[in-house]
Amino acid sequence: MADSERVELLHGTLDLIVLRALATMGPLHAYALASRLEQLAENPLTLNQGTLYPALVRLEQRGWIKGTWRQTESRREAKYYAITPAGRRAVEDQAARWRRLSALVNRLLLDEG
Amino acid sequence: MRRFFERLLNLLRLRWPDQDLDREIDAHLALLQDSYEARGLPPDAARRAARLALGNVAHIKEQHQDSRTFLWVEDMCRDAAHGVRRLRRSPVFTATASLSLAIGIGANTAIFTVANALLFRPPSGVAAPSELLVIGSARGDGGVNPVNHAFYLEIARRTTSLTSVFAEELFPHVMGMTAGSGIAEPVLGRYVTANFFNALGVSPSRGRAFEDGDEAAAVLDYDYWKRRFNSDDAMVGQGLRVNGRPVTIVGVAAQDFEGIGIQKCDIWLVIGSSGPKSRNVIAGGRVRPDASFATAAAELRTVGDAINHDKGIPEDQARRLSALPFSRAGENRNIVRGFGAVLMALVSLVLAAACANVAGIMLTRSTARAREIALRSAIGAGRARLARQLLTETIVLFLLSGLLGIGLARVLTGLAMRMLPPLPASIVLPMTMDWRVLLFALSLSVVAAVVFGVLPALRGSKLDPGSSLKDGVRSSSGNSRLRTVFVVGQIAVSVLLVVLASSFVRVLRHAGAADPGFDPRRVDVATLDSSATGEQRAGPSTFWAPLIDRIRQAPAVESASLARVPPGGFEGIGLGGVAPGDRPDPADAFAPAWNIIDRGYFATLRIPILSGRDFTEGDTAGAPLVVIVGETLARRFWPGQPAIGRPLKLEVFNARSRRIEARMATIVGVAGDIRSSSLIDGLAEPYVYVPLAQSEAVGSLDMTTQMSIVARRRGDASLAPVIAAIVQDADQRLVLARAESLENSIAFGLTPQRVLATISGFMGLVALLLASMGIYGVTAYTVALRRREFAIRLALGASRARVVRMVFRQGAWIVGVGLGIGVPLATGIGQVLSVFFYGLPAAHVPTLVGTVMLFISIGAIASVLPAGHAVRDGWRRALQED
Repeated sequence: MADSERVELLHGTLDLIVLRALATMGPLHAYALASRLEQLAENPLTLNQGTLYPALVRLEQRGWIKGTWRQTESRREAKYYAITPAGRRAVEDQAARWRRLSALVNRLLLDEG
Repeated sequence: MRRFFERLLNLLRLRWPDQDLDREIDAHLALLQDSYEARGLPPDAARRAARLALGNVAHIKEQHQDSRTFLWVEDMCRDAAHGVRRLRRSPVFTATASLSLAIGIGANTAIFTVANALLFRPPSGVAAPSELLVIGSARGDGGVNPVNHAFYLEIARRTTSLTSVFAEELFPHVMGMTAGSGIAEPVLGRYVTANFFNALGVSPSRGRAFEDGDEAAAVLDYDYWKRRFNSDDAMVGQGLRVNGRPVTIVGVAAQDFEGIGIQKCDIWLVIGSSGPKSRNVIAGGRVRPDASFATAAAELRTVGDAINHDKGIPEDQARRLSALPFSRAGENRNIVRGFGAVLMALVSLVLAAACANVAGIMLTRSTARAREIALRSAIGAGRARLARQLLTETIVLFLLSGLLGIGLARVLTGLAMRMLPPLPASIVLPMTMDWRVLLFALSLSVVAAVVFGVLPALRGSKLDPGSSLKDGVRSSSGNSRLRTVFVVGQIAVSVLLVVLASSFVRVLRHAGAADPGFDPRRVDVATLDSSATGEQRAGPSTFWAPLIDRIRQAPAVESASLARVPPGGFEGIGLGGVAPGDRPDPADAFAPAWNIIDRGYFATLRIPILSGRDFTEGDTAGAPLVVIVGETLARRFWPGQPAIGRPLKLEVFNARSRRIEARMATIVGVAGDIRSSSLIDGLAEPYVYVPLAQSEAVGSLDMTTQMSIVARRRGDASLAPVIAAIVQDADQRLVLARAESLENSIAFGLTPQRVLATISGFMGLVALLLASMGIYGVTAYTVALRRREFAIRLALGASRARVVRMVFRQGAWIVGVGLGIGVPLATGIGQVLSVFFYGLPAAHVPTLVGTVMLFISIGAIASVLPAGHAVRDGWRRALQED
């Protein structure tokens, strides 16, 4: 139970982070995305690269990102994800929502702590 | 929508997205491995490191599949489990809520069970019942009347859209059956056409079904054969005498076949070619597979018009042919449906009240859960997800109540069958809870849950997490408004039900207290069919006169007479029209209700003879024609003048010449009006009474083969056994068709009113209870919301009485609005109903005043406890809370 809640907590953030990364950096494949996230995180490698996939699938199903198969610079094939217009709108909404909620959770933790 | 199909696709063929994912993961691994190799790791180590960095590949795939396929199915199960847990945590709420819902659902289901048995569930043993239809002549109320056998033969000859047309007598009759010994025993027999069984697809369990050309054949009912003849196979081929006529048993019907109507039957007799062409039958047909019901019905109307035209029946007298979908309710399908709809509407009101009650409580509970919901939404649960969770909880509760309701419906149908007065004939109506009933109950539960659960769920999930987490429950005034709306609705519904219930009770009491124009007490009625002897007689008197004389002489009998139709059931019979005979060209001819009676009829029933005399022994077949008329008819033709001695022109159908002939009769008496089955509609029919001895002279031939013996008893014991003994003593071949007290037969006629009164009374009580629960709930809830406000008022010096008044004022306001809606509603609906039910005034002021008082006191009582809470000694604590 506790485990799944942690994943749930992560979902909200991960989706937003992925969307933002794609919004600012243009189309990326999963590996590039994961590398980017690792750079962002304070403690590298706390994130399993595989954890990205459910988020990518979810976002693609919502129509917020779109994946296409392309060649990398190193002539490997990879699925590149690009943010869609709906995805851009979602970033705004999600970011606002997240700011509100995180403020709340903070207050909640202070209140009850 | 698109996503839904995508997922559905995934569920069906899991291969393709898996392959895509495999490819993506391989690519990812390759890229990782490249990067590790670029940092100087050997290929093997680089691959291991890459796998490590990516994590458990199988686990990724699993998670991936989760989000691709129907995650919501799993969500729903989790929500349902969560709902069950929450319901178990508050057993009092769960118990009261599900009980009140179960009553609503159960009552609806019970009525649906009866309607299902009558309208939807086809009789067992009949092949492809959906192809069948019922044919008769159109009736004003949407049902059909029987047609005569000759007309049926014409329909069968002319139709092209039906593969087969069959017919059966309108009712089964009690017949005298003689097997072996000379003494007749009563048996319920029904005449049917030779193709009856084959057209219905009923196979015989022994012997054969009827075939074309059968003349004196009989088929036994399976249960009757088992009961009466001990399942003796040798009975097939045996001879019997039924009503004196020899018949041969050709077979036994299939075990599961119980006839196609609701009246039981022991033996089917074939209508042979020699049968009377005037016999009344209800026809049925099987629609050709390539034709629809509508085309067949349209064709039958045309066929009927053509037959009328060919017979030279003028258009204004012709009765149009009409077809109804096949059901156990047969020719009365539409009446049954209408009555069922009224009952269903009544009990649906209670269901609505129960739903409003539960929805109100749910709303309060979701407010109380504001913190929990805010927390869930803070950790990422979407609004849709939260609403779905709340709704699932509601659905779980309603389904639970639905299951309870189904059990309750079983009990209720059992009770309802016991509540009915003794039925004049045995009824086959299996109250099976088949898939239709279960589907009805469960969909009713789910629909009610969605209708009444969506609003609270949306409200509950909309809470702005910020304010809720900060303020607790203080800011949810919107919810309490919605809850008040629910309670107001509940009160309106209960007002409606209480007013309706008391109206129906008044109708019943009115009918019981109204003077029907005759005295049914201590009168027994026994019906006898003289054709059971199988003898042809010279005239009606040769059979009936000696018999009724013997009955009159019995010591237990105070007085006795004979009547074609005793009061309390049908109003009279139709013999033709009448017109005043003392005007040259009377324009006021019309068809009255007729009755054929013997002398002493008025005295036995204590119907006053207002002027003139009763029939006497002198009014014989050869004597001048005489009639007695009811007061209404006398007043209609000769207002303000004496009717005695005036000529009455009778335009009656002569069965012998088969033509309408005019006869002149002299009015010798005017009798008081009677309201028989018109106890229901309250109008006194204009009656014309013809003496039995002269009935043939009037033209009615087979009208007097069946008569009812009407006898007033001296003591309390029923005369039925006395009459039965005298009848059997007179002729061993005779059996009584029906014997019961006149009061019972009248009570039977009032069954619809009694059913309505009982159901609306019980439902009114339940609604009342729910409404008081609702008022209490909403008052208690607002008091809880305003606790701090009240505490501040008290602290600032307001008197307790003032605070109590504030609480009461709120309760009064809710009740007031509820009454404001309910009373006009009840008056309006009462107005509609008063058209159908005699003695139901549209607005009965004492009832309305009583109802208003009742609800005001309920409102007051329901506010007492919350008011006490507001001012009890601990109020100061409210100031420090939160």
